[in-house]
Amino acid sequence: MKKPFDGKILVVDDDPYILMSLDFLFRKKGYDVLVARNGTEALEFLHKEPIALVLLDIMMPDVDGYEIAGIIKSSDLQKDCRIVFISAKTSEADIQKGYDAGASLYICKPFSTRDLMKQIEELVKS
Amino acid sequence: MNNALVIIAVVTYALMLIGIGFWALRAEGKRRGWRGWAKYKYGLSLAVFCSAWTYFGSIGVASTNSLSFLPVYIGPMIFMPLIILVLGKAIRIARLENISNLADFISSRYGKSVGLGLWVTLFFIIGIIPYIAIQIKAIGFCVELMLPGEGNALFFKRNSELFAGVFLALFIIIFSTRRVTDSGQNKALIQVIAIETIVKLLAFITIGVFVLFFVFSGPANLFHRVNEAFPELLTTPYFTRETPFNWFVLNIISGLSIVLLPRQFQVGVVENENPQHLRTALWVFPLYLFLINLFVFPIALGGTLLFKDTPVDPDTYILSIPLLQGQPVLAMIAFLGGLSAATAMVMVETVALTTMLTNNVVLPLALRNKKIKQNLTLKAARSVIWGRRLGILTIIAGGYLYDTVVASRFSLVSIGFISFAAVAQLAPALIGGMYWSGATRKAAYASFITGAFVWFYTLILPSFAGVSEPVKQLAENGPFGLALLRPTELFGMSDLDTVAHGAFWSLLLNVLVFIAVSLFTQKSAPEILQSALFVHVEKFSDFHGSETLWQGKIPLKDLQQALRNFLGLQRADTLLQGYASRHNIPLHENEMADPRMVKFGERILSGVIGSASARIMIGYLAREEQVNVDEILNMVKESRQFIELNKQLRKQSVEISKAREALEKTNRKLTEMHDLKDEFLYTVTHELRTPLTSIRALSEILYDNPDLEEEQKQKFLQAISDETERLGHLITRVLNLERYESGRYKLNLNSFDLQDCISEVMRTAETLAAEKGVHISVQHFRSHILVYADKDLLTQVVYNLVANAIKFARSEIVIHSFVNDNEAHVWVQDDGQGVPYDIQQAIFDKFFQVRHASLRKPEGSGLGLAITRKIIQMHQGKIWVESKPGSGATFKFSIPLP
Amino acid sequence: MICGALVLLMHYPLLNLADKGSRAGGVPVMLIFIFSVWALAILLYYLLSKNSGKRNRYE
Repeated sequence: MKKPFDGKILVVDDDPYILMSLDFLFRKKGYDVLVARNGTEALEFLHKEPIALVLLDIMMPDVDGYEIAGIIKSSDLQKDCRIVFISAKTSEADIQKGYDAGASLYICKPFSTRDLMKQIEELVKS
Repeated sequence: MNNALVIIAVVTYALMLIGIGFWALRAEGKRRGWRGWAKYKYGLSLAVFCSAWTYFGSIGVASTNSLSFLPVYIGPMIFMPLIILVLGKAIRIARLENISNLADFISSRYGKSVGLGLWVTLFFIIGIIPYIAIQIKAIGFCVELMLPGEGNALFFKRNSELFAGVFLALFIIIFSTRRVTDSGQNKALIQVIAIETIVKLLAFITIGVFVLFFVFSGPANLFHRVNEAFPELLTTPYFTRETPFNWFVLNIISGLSIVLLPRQFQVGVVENENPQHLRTALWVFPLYLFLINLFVFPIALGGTLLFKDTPVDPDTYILSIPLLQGQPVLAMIAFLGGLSAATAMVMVETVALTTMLTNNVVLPLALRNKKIKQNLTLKAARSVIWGRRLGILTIIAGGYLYDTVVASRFSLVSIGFISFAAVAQLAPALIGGMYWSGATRKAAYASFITGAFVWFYTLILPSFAGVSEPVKQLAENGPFGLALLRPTELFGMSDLDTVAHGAFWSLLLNVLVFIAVSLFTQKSAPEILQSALFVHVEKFSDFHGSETLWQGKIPLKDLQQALRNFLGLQRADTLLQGYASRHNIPLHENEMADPRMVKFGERILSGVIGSASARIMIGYLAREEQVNVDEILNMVKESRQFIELNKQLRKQSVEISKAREALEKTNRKLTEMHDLKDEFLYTVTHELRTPLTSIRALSEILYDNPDLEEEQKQKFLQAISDETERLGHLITRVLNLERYESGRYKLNLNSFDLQDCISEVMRTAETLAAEKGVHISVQHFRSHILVYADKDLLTQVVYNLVANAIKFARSEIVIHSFVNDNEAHVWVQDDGQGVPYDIQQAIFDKFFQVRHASLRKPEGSGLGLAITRKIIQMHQGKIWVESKPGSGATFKFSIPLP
Repeated sequence: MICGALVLLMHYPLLNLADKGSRAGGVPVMLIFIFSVWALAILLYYLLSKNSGKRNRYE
């Protein structure tokens, strides 16, 4: 299958089922997908290679999404990395906080898989 | 004068009135016709003031060249702006408090005093029945004049007054007691009154014009002829005969009576549809008075001329002149005019008095009887209506009886003034109460009683001098021979017209007593509220939420039922629901009514049964038994407490600010708790979203990818199933916790052996533990521990703790149970990594989760310990954890033994 | 409205005095006097009601 773009996508969420779903969805579209079950694993990936797009859960037991976003923003390696938050925190204040932390997109849980894929595709194209 | 014609005319007129009444009833709900009519209608309705007294009596007075009929009209004219102000304020108050009559108004102002309402009502009735009697008498001699000679009309003639009375009673009953509206208004009646007022005026003017320009050729001619015949009539100046003092006093009591006569209050305050109409009334009413009085003199003087050789009662000039001049049509007109005047007055006065009677006398007395109060279920509304009807009959009967038995004792004129003087006795209480918040109920009582007594002493008593010897003695020599206190010449004020004299003294003493007693007495608690409301009504006009003084609580059901009884099912419910939705009050049938609803309900009820009775009713519903007891005692108690409190507060203002601080703190805490609650909700929704997300995502994937590999499909389906189950568990736990916390869960208490619980848990847990490779053992220090608790819940507790232990244990779990200090203890010990000190308290909080890198979120955790703690708390027990991080944790709980 | 009330309180003593005064002039004059003052008062009231209508729109 033709790769839609060259970069890698990293999905970080402590819920394995969500990981499973997102992994399946991206793979099906032909993206290069990496999965991390928690912040620590995510950071391992983030230190190794440049990631084009990160889908971040916020509420995670060890390192939360904001921290990871902060690390990405201050990392040289990940300077072109785009951040997408996926979270059950859905209040106006939370969403604003997400964008303030440098997100390009904020997706609320529960999400529609079709919408999510569409939004990601658009983001990736731009 | 053809008898038949007369009778036909009367009947036609009566039918016309009935017709108007019905038409008005039908049109009540709709807005139709000339909008201007409404505001003129109000001003005209005020002219119900002009009764048969005006029609006949003033002419009678004028014919003797006394101007003493004029103050009756000039007084109101002069004070019109003030009157309008007072009426305006009274209207606002009456609307706010749903007051439907004068006695209610007074009673309400002074703390909804039942006693005051009662006495005021009785006084009014005593004072006004003679006035009603005059009207009936007038009708009587009108008919007599119009139906000369014997013949078939004799029966009608002899009993004309009886017929009149019956007709009036029936008319009022039909048109004003159909529904128990909640504002006490009788719009149909007012329409009829307004029409009658116009008829009155037109008839009067017609006759006046006739006399002035047709009998005589103009005013000059008239006066010229009078001068010829009775020169002294015109030249003797008025004011030497009538002293200025008389004029002054009569003006004042006439002005007062525009507000204080029951019919005037009814028409001016209760029946007012729109306060804007007051502005029109400001000039319409004086204009009306002007027009009517313009022709009094011509008719009077003309009459004296025409009848100088034949003795004709001057009161009847307005009829006699046309009859003499052979003008039957005009006579008919005059007759109808006179009828209008009399009937209008009686109608409105009776309605006003009856409302007072039912609300302030009958109902409170009836409600005193416990049995009646309890049985006030189905029949309440009907009872009110029938009570009113009975009242109407009673009052008209009273008037009729008075007329037949007593009326000859007084002249037409003086009765009117005596009535004015009577109602004026309430002026300090009413008007003072409206503008001076210092006025107290005791003052109202005192002043009113003083005034009434003096009134009686100076005005009623002397008239019996002709009949009763002791009274005669009193009149001539004063009580105990004290000439200074002679009834008609108090303190040597002789040469005064009796009425003016009596009015002066009664009012003077009344006002003095009122002011003095108010200054020296305190208001009771309800009075304070009411006086503020009355005096500062403009501040309250939009604010329907004046604080309630109800200490009792009323079940909403009872309030609803009471209102339904008096207003009918639909109307009561509509009003209640309307109020509830406007103020966002939830209507839970089985709970206590919101205090604002109670206040609202009381307001509505008071429109129907009067504020004093409504208060009794609500008080009864709130099970405030004290309302049964003499209300005065209650008020005194409350006011004493209040005085004490007042003193304390004044001395210790520091305490007040301390209290305020405490309140603010509590408020902050409450807000915090509120925030906590929000936080809880927030966390719950968040927790629910997570499983929902995977369920949704996986479902969508399955749907969008029908050609998935079988193995994948199975995997996803299994995931969905797991997550759904997890969600279900979570929801159950949350709900359980909520139930425990809100106290709605009722403990199912039993005696059982705690060890049984433990054994049961062991059975399930053993497999779980074995899977994980952990060993559980139990240590009893007693084979049986008998507890009195909820077995299922305690089992759950033990299970939670054990399951937790299994999750965290490395290899070994031990369960201890023993009794110590009259408590049953259970320890669950594991050898896991323990719990850090800083979270040993917090782990029992809702949704607290231990952050551990390698940990998957276990099923339903976050709530388990919270529920556990709640259950233990519900058993009055304690639960805590002891742990040294790194060397395991022991969860311990204890519950008291029975 | 309030000033109107003051005005009319003034009216009343006037009436009284004036009545005393026209003692000599024969009663009809007094009648004319009373009624014309009355009519004037009505006119005043009428104007007053129109005025306060315009001013106090929001009452």
